[in-house]
Amino acid sequence: MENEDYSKSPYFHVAHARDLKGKDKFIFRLLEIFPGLLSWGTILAIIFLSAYKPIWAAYFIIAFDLYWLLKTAHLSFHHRYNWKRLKHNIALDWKDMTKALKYEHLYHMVILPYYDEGQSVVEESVKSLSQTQYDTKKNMIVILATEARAGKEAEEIAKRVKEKYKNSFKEILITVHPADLPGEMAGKGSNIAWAAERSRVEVLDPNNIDYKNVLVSAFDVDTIAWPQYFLCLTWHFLTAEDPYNSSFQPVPIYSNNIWDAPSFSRVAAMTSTFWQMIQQERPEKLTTFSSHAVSFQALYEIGYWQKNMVSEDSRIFWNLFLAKNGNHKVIPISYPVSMDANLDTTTFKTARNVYKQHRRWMWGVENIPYILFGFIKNKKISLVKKIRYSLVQIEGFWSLATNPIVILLLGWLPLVLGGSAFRETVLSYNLPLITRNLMTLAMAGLILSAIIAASLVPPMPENMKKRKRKWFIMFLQWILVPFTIVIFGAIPGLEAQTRLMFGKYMGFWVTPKHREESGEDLKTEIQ
Amino acid sequence: MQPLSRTKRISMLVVLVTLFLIGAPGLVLYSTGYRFGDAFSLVKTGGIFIHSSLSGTEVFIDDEFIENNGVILRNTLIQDLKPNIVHKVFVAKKGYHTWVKELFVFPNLVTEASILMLPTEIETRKINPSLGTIASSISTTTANASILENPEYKIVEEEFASTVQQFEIELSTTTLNAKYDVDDLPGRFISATTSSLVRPKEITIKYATTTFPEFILDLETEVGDITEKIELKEKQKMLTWLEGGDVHVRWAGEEETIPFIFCVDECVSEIVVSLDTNIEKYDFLPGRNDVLIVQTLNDIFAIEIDNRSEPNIQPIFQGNDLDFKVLNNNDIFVKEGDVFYEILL
Repeated sequence: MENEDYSKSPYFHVAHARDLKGKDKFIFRLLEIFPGLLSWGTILAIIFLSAYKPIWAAYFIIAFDLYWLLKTAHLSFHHRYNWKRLKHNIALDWKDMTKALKYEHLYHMVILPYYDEGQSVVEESVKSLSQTQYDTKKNMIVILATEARAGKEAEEIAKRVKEKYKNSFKEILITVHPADLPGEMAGKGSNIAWAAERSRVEVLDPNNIDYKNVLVSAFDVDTIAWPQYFLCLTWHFLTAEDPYNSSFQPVPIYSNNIWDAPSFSRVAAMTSTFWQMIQQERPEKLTTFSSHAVSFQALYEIGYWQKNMVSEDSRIFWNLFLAKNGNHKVIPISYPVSMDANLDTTTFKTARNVYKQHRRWMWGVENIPYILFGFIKNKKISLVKKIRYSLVQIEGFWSLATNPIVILLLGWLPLVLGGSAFRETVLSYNLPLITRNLMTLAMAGLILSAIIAASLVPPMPENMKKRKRKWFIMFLQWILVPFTIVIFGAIPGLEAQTRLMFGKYMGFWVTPKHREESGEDLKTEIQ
Repeated sequence: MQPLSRTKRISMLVVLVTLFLIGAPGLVLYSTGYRFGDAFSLVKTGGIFIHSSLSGTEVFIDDEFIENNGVILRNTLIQDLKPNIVHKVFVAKKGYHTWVKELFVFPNLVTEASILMLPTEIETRKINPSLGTIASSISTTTANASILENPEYKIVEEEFASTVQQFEIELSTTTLNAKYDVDDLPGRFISATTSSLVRPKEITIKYATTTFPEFILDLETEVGDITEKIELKEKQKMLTWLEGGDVHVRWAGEEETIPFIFCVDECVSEIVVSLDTNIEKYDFLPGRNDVLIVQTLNDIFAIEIDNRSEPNIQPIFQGNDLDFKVLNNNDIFVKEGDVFYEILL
């Protein structure tokens, strides 16, 4: 592999151990087992220590409580800063910022993949694109990427939307991703990869558009672009040190239907937004997530998004990182795009969808064996970089799956399993007191969360304005965090890691998009 | 606006890591019971935990006020106590007997105690034999009246007349149910293995194995003449019997779960509850398995099963020709002569 282009290697698009043979398969399988083993090992070690070495367990839990408190402070520090930067970037006149830049040659290609979402969802997104402050008629190509397996209706929706907005963009291309292509998994990755290639053949090449002049935004279909999103993105692309070795990540705010979603869904959605905000201030830990942008040239060089796995949004970063021998990075643009919070016809269905969506996100753990295996195979990446990125990713998935459980469920275990000798110690009396006090301090950060969340939600719809308690609940809902981080964070995380550990690979699950008929414009405004 | 600078982020990280490196060992030492002594030396401390079901009490230790307990948090944890000495705890509340205990405190350990605080004025309710009279018939010349009996009186009277004792001991592998008649079977109340001593008519024993705890099987051997050993009772695995005017108490549960009242430095197998005069009868105070109601010639008291220091004794009833019963594990009734009272605690 010394002189070979890693993107041309047989390992580049490997999804799971089953794609490999012999020693490679064995190594990859071990790497798949590793994250789950680490998480379960942590939980079982605490249970074991609580029963047989309760004093050690108590020491560990107290140290862990403090670690959690300081980590919360650390994250809040980044969160608060990004909130300021986000507000600053929203308030900024990006037209003015880009005035000195030449960008008439730059095309924005927006891919909107969908399966069985209704026309209103697709149309809202296209409408928001048409309303952005950019010369969309000249420089924006929209691709409505449908799936053949979704039937004719999906294509019909695309045709109707195209008919309505065809004059608003340089081009609206409808692509239909064929079902059951060999080597593909049904999902967003294979669909947008197909769409990107079709756009190259049908739009870019016939119009002699240089791939380097095309910036691709791979959106979820419910993504609403904020008015100056493309100007902001353009500015970041044109001022980037190495734009073709960079991906661009906005802040996804799950707020389109936030006033209709139940409180636990709002909290889960906002927590995801907050995590992305925090990561925006830690670019070395940031990977592409959900709606993101990257140059067409970079995509073309590596064969677009990976088609045989679920987490194509983060995998594209790792594909590029390995292909460029560690010289690809994510530039956080700290500008929002709005998306839907989970909402279904009943509370139970919504809860189920939140769980499944988070499990799919946590399935991003499938990147860990890919990264580690890639680091073994690609000798051109520096060892320091390999170690740093490996530790960040491993710690990230380990902490998501275990920390809430350790803090909220296992913290009391030595008292239960520790036996009478332990229960007589001063330590056993202080363990719950110290845990409670440190957790209470950590929860103080929720006040900041409530304030930030309130500033990010769109105005309350007219038909809800008489329900003043809605605002009260919007603040009060944050007391659900200890439950949501366990139920919609740690447990789906553990499930995903356990599945990977046992080789029960997940398929792609499309989050149902449902919006109440409030009649309100879904476009959001910062408050 | 620029992203958060690397300098700021590293500074923040350094501060937090420093806090962790200092804070974690500090918290571990603190939670284990270590405190700063003279000249910044680290000294071990101990604690006392007071279980209380009474709200609004004032807690003192070594004559120093500690706290008022509340309605929800009624227990009190007292930390930072000098170890290897006896500390005097007292808990007071207006209208209740003050509870006083001298407890030895060990380094890095917590000594537990449960308060016993009965009202200083205990209310009683007399149970009348009748509920009054009612006219049974009306004639033009005479009016006949009949007495309306009080059904509660009848029930209580029958309970006091009964001499049947029963108890149940549940162990992990064994259940022993025994019922015996004190009059028919004076002293020879139980033997799981010696069938000649058992009268099947009065005693039913069911068990999965014959592996009763050794001490139950050995009771007869150990105590010798057991004619005196009557009133075997059990409550939440606390096994008690009356012997020579004292109440003997043993733990019938797993060794691991032995209550703190049996243990000071080492745990003892038996506690003897004795008074200056003979205890004639006893039972458990409702809701407690560590407090007994004991009856002497003219008094009924509540007394702790806790010999770690002088047990707290608090009066319940005084009178002549006394008897008492705890019915339904909850209600205390006293018989003075022919009059029945319910004790309202």
